[in-house]
Amino acid sequence: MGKGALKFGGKSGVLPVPRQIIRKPFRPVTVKPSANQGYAEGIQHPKGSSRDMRFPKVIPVSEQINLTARDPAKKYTEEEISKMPLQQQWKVKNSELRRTFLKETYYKDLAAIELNELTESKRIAKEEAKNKLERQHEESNTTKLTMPSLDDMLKEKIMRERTEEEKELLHQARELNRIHWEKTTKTQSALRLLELYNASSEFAVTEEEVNQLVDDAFTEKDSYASSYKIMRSLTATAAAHAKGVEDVLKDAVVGKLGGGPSLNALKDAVSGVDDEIVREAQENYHKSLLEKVDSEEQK
Amino acid sequence: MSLQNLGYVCSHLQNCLNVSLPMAAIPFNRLHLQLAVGLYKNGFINSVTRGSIAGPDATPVEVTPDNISTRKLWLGLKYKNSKPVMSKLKLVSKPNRRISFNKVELSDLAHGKKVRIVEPLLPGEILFLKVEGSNEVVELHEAVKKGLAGTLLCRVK
Repeated sequence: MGKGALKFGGKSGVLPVPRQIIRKPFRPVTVKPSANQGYAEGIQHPKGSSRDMRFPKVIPVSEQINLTARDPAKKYTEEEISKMPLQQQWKVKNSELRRTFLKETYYKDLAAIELNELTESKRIAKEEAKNKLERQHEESNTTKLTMPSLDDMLKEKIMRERTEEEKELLHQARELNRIHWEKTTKTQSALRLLELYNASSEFAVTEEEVNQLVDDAFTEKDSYASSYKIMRSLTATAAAHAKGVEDVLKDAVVGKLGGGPSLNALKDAVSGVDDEIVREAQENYHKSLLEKVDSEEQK
Repeated sequence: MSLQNLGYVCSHLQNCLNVSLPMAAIPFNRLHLQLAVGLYKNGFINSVTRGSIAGPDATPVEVTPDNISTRKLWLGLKYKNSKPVMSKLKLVSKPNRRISFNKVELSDLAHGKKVRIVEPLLPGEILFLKVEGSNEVVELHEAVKKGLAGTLLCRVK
């Protein structure tokens, strides 16, 4: 950092802090409304504050000058000034200098603002004209029927993005796929569970049953077949794997699974289709009985 | 910009040239297209054609997110007296060591000076670089002429 004048960037003495001369704007201040600003309805704002944003008061240049750099009521001539004491002469000159400088600053600032506005309006007009021209522009047949050059390809996007419709279609296809796979896996697991349940009827669950199976195994002549039977009875996996081709065929023909009811049969039972069929059959049976009785009576 | 994929492209082209293939397919993206155009402009390859993994397109096909993975750029390789015109393609910047030069350094390199670890260009050798702050890929001498700075990509001999 250094000492002495180095402290102040090598300048001798401390410079005054730059002061904002123009405090009130010449043009109305415009602020874009933001959804994240202000108070929502029903929410109170602190006492002494404003509910809406306060903007600085707009004072036109002429009024600013009138307020801050008004010409003195009495204008001294050169002769009158020369007769004044030196200190007063300086005071009058300084005041005049301040007024002139302030007026100039106001006018310069206003000119800069006007220039900015003009530039901005010109830019907007130019952009609008360009957009209008682009909207009106139609590609010529030559452009449409010609293959793009390499430079054209590099200027444009390499890949066309999906349209909203394509995105929606893709989303639906993915959803369909997901549901299909979910259904398939759930059906498979349900089938496996049902197979296990049906196979469990052959499981030995009590000590007596186990003893019985062991006895049967060792009393039978064909030791291989008996041990196979034990294994089949003891574990679910073994039971599942031990199913022969004949069993599978038999189940498929009869519509069963692992010797028990199939999944479809269970579904029908759960959904009440079976009950309806039984009820209908019973009604038909009663009807036929009544018809039979009637016909016998008529005879 | 993937220097890894650019390295694969360089190796693939070298392999194709070593076994004298007439065409080589490289993945279709902006960087590879710019490299291919640069090679074509400098006379290292015969042609640049858009296509798919099956081969160059007979009719123009639009590039969409559904087919981008199968799109390829097919480069017609050049041979002279049964020898490939391109003898060597090599990455200068590596994925873990990118080399960026300012315009003075690029000018020095173009004028035959060794700059940092980059050896000067030999006769018939070109160097591609990616311009700083844009996606443009230009040749070294073009960059020097325009006063550009950028990341060195690969050199072709």
